Formats: sequence, structure tokens, C-alpha cells
Amino acid sequence: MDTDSPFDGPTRLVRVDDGTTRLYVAGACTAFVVGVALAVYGWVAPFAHPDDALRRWREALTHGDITALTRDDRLGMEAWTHDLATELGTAEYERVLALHDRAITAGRDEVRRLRAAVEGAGFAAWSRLTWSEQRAIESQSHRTWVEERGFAAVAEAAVLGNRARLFAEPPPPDVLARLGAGALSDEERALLGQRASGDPAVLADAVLTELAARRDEAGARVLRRLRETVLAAGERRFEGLPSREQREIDARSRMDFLLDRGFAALDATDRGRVESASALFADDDELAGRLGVTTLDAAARTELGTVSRRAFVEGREAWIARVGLQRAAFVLQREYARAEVETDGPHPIGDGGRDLVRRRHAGARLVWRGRSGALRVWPDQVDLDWDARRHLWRVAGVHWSRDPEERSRASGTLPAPAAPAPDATPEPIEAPTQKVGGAS
Amino acid sequence: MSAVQGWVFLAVLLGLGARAHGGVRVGASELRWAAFSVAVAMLQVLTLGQVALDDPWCSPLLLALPIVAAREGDARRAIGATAAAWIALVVVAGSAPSDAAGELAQGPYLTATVFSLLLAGVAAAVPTVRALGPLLGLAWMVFFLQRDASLLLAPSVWAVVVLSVGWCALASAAPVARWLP
Repeated sequence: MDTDSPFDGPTRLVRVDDGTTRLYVAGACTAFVVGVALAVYGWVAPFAHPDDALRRWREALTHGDITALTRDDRLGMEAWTHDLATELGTAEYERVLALHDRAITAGRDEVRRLRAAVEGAGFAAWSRLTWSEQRAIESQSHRTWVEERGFAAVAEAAVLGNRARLFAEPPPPDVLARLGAGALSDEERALLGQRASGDPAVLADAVLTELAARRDEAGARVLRRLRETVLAAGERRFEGLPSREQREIDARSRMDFLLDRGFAALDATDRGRVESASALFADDDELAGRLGVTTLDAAARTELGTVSRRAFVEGREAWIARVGLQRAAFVLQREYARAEVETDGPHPIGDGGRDLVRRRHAGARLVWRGRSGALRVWPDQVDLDWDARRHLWRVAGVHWSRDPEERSRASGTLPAPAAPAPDATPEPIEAPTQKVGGAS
Repeated sequence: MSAVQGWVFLAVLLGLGARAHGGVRVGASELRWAAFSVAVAMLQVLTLGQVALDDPWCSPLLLALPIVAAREGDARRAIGATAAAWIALVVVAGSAPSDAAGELAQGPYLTATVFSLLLAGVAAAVPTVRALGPLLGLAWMVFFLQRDASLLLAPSVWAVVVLSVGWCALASAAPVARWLP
């Protein structure tokens, strides 16, 4: 062994001499040649025997074997189904979306009419009010806002529990008692406590009655001051608001009055169609879509159902996937029915020749798609058998029956595929981007 | 056992092994192996859109990696280099942008990582196994058959394995071996 050789050293899988090095290089070259040959063969093999590839796909579809489908993903089976379903589903989605838009356009006119009716009736009711009633209504929302915020801001008011008890007229007795208790001494409070407990010996005592009156007077003074503090605190917060919000708060009670009266003046039919006046004046097209659906024909109404346009747009992906798969199933069924031709039986040039005949009759094509480097089999041009079709429809959630009428009934709005005439010949299918093999 | 549990288990196992042999050491050699596998993986992402083990052009380089790393018979270095390279590979596989919906199928990557570590460890530690030389690349067929027995008849998988044997043999030839990390 030549230990001085630069080819020796620890960086070997095994210790070798020059002859072995040449052997390794030769072995590597052989392995590369064999490997590349195998790779090319594995790449081309499905084209040489398309029936094998199609049979594997058919079995995978029949048994719902997704693993087997993805194993042949180089052939693009799964991607093809997905592409077809997406294409058909998107087209269907655009059509239904256009129906939604038609409904909304028609519904907007109706919404405008109802809004005008509500506004007219509301302003008529407003004009019948006196000046003082109008001012009272106008100040209502401002007053409520100030009371709420002031109550939340003043810690002393919290002992009363809620805003309504603070501003109730007349003030609740327990509020006066609580706020005025500080004006009495401990003994007087104890006496009043006995009275409150209902002891008959002290109930009629004039002194106690006077004590209670004194306590209530003191309570009323404290309550008045507390109310002023709360209102002042609320006003300070109101002044801190942007002027736009201030105007909104000031106008709210008047707006509520106009809408309530106007909505109440609508006839019962219109009120039944619009759940509230605020829905009528909302910015979205929810109501317009709902009202506009009634102007469409019966088929379109059934198709749109009760789904709003917004929900329809939000569920776009799932809708396209679901409906696209259904549509793809019908397209596949139609194409397969067209390709139902007898291709089995003896053939003068054996299996390879039978493959070619099957490909020609079934229209099976293997197509090269440049970007992803995937070979595509167009399954709508392949003679899938009965089980495969039934499985595909089961996957797509479509009821399938051999009886065309039952099929039509069970599949709802989807049109039943037309059965081919017994002597129908396969229609010519448009040329793929590139054919592989000369027979198809 | 889920894939995440599997990764954690593998990490603990590697950590314990490293601790028993003097701690984790990330040297220049490990970094070069990791850089090599990242380069191959990114090439695959650019051409195929994902990291794949059955691509006849790039995958053989990845499959040959643990066998070449074991060529010196140092099990610790072999396992360290293989772990660095394959974990980097999985990181690229998981973070590569993919137009396919869904997350990375971690199971096969975990199995392949464990298999490559086993291969590197056994080849480095057992001289009899190491004596098989480049033919050790054929052991990857066990991994593919464990995935799916029908791959035994898949010419493209055999192509990947045979090409990995070719890379192992080329790496055994001295002028090339001198350039290796």
C-alpha cells in the first residue's frame, strides 16, 4: 500500500490504494449513469403505459386512498382535480355574486323608499310637539350622558348603588336616611334604628318623628350638593369631548324620537320586513340585499337563500371548494359517460396496442405543464369506471343513482347530466398544450 | 407519539449523548455541513417549491451526507455533522414559502432525520458496516420501504438511492474527499 500517496488518508470511507480509487471513480460514474437512466425511466414510464397510471388513480379514487393519489402527484392527478374544482367553483361564485349584486341594487331602491317614509312620519310627529316638549326631548340624551359619566366619576355617589337612585324624584327615603345620618348623634341614630325595627313602644314618639324629619332634611341638602357635584363632573367630561361627539350626543334623543315615531307609522307589512329603524339606516347593504331578493325570480331566490352578501363573500374559499367539487363531479361524470367505450378484449398488437386504443377512445392525454414540471392527466378524458365515479360523487357530497330522474331529484338545484345516446361517439376534445406519444 | 414529541425526544436524546461525550460542540465542520444541506435544500425550494427526498437531482446529495460524514470512523463527529445538516434541512423545509395549503408534514422529516443519524452513527462506530463503503447508500431504501412498501418497484426511488451511492463513491475518491468538510 502506498502510504505516501496524496490519495491516502483518514478521509476515506475505506482505506484504498490507487487502483481502488479508480474503482471508486468508475463505480461513481456507473452509479450516476444507472441512476440517471432510472430517473428518466421513472419520469417517462407513465407516458409509456398510461393505463397503469390511470388504473392506479382509478383505484385510489375508488378506495378513497389519498396517499396513493399524492404518491402519483407527479402526474398531477390531485392538482388537476383541485384546479378544475377551483375554476368551476370560481365561475359559479362569480355568477351567484352577480345575483347578490342584482338583489342589492334592487333592494337599495326599496330601502330609499322606506327611509323617506320613516323620515316623513318622524318629522310630522316632531312638528306636532310643543316647543317645550321638543326642548325636553332634545336635552334628554345630553342630560343622560352627563349624569352617567358624572356618577361614574364621583366616588361619593357610588354608595347609592346606581345613577337612577341619585336622580330619582322624589328621592327614595333610604337615600335621604343614608345621606342625612351624619347630622344625628349616635344616640339619636340608635333611637331611630329602634323605630325602624318596628318596636311598638317607640313608634308613636313625637321626638323620634322630629328626629327623622331633621335627618331627611339634612339628607336632602347632601343629596342636592351631591347631584350638583355629579352634574358638574359630567359636564366637565362632556366639554372634553370632540365637538363631533358632542353634537352626536346632543342629537341622539331627537333622532331616536324621529326614528321611533317614523318607524311606528310604517304599515305592518313594511315593519315586518325591517326589524328596526336603525337597521333601515345602517350603512351596510344587509337589508338592501334581503329586500332585493324578493324582486328576483324564484330560481334565483332559491339559489341565494337566506345568505347575505357579506357572509357569502366571507365564506368565499369554502364555498368555491364545496360547489367547485360538486360541479367538477358533474363535469367528470359527463365526460366519462361520453368516453364509455369498450376498449377491452384481444388486440392484434398486445397490451401496448390496447393501451394506445384505450387512450384514443377515452381521450386520455398526458400533458406537460411547464412551470411546475408536473405531468397532467386530464381525468375528464379518461374512462373511469363505475366505482370510481360513484366514489367521486360521494366525496363531492352528491347523491348518485343509476336512475336519471332520481339523480335529478336528489341533487337539488344542480342540473342532471345529460345521458349520452347509446351510439354516441366521443366528441373531439380540444388539443392539449403538448401531446406525449403519437397515438392520442 | 406526535411529531413535536418526536422532535423533543430526539433533542433530549442528542443532548444526553452530547453531555456524556463532553458537551455540545458546534465547530466549523458542523457549520459547513449545515451550510451545504441548506444550499441543497434551497436549491430544491427554488426548483421544486419544497424540500423533497425523492427528487433525483438534489436528494441524493442529502442522502449521501450521513455516510460521507461517517467516513473517518468518528461517531461523535459523524452524528454531530449529520444532526447539524439535517436539522438545518428541516428548518428550511418548514420555513420555505409553499403554495400548498397546510403545515409541513413533520412525520417523514423526523423519520428521515432519525434514520440518517442512525446511519451515520452505525457506519462510524461499526467498522464492518463502514467497510461497505458507498454501498451503504442503498440502506436508504429501507427508509423508503418503511414509508411505503410499493416503492420497491418505483424506478424514480431507485434512481435516488443509486445516485446517492454514486455521490458516496465520488466522495470516497481522494481528490474529492480532500475538499470535504
